[in-house]
Amino acid sequence: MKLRERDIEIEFTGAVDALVFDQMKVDEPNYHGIGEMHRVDFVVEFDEAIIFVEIKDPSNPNAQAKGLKKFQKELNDGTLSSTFASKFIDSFFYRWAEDKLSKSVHYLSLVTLESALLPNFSDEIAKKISPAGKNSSRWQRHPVETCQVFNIETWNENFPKWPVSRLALAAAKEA
Amino acid sequence: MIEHLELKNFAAFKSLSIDFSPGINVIIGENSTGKTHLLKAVYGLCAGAPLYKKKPDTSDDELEAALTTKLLRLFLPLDDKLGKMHHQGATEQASLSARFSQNQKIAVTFFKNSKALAVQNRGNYQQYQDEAVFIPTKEVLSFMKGFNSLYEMYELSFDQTYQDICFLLDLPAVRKDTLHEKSEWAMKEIKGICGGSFVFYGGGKVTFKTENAEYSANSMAEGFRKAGMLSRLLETGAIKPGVSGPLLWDEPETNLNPKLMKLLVQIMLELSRNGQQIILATHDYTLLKWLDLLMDKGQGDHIRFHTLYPDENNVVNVDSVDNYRSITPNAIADTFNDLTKGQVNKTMGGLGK
Repeated sequence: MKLRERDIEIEFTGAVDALVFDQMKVDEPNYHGIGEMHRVDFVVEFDEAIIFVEIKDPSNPNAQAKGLKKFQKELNDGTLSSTFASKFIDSFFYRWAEDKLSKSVHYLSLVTLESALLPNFSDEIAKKISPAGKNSSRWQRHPVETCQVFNIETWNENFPKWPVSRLALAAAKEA
Repeated sequence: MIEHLELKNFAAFKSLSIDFSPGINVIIGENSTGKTHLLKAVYGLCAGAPLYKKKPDTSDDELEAALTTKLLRLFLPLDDKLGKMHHQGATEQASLSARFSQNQKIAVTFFKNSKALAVQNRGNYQQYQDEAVFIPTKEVLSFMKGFNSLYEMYELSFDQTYQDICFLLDLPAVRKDTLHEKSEWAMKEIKGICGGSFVFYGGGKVTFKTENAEYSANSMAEGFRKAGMLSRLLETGAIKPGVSGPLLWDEPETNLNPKLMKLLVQIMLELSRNGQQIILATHDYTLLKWLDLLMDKGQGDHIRFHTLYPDENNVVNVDSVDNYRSITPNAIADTFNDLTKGQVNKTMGGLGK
């Protein structure tokens, strides 16, 4: 199943369900409908697990200077990791309400930054997902098994069954 | 300033050829790819400068003897034998050659059983006057006292870069009016961040002085001692932008708090803008990234990244690029990728594979 977010396309081989979770067009399937909630881009279900996927593409060749500046500012001041965390939490809540959260959840983000920046950014998001980085001993399940940020290269290296491609590049190659 | 280096059948290298930037050169690569060997080879080939300064009519024999001793003391090969620096498995002679900015050249060779280097080419080498400085990995302020005497008397397991740096640190400070403007600026910045400065009394005695008190140098943070070394080398004029030879710095990040790294990079860039060639070896992402972020082409900054990597036959090759993002393979970035891989393997098992 293929899903697309602007210039990025991911093929989720073996998925039993894959949806554009943040669909806000009312006549499209899986309309989300609650603009007040933060939303991840995709939710993909496999036999053994569910993955939430959030994509940010500052390396998009068509990215605008203003947008990049905002991205850098938010990355530096911690707002970006808070937004990523909120997207997970609200989407988790929404899927729980849909009664669609019966499996382990992995939160995988695709951010087109250089790879050295990603482990630290992953930790920053993970800390914000569970309040103050703590879990209660009363919890029977962990809300998020994996919280990791990838760029295109590391995503493809780690998930050969879910290849990511850049559409502009693919189009240029065909031409 | 060194422009070009060629090493054949020497130490870690079967055949290596590098063009250096007149600005900042960053050597990266995994352990055992020969980063320190490369720095030491450059340093060894620069050793003619002090020799000809002391004795302009140095003969070829004297040059060969001096360079042989220098290499042996820098590399500390097994049994003090030159042949032990011959690249393992190589049958042809080893050679080291360098070209400097005024077209001065030096080329030396040796065989497995050679007792001394043979000078093959020393075109204008006697005119090479720019003394290089080598800052080794470990800081030395904590053990400088008496080190030079001990080094002369006993076989210590320190290579000669440690003796040389102790010697340079113990030189008297240059007169204020001859201190380079950027050296003065850098010393002030280092003093600001350390909250005081190191005082050198001669004979290796070093203390740390703040406005109100004086402490043992050993009681200071290792990172401060490392920054203090740089400050002192500027103060003595051992490093003088536009005058001194290449600054060779092995892993500047060792002992250094990452927060000091930005200042260190700012200083290196300023020195480089004023004519100081720098060749450093590093494993540190923070250092690389600050170089990438703070470099300003508008100010003429030029940074060249040289990656040492073993090919499929385990022969060390070099790839030199002028853009951080073009570095391949990048052992430092690969380490971060491994962390990501480790996390995914731990919590996701075979999912997506």
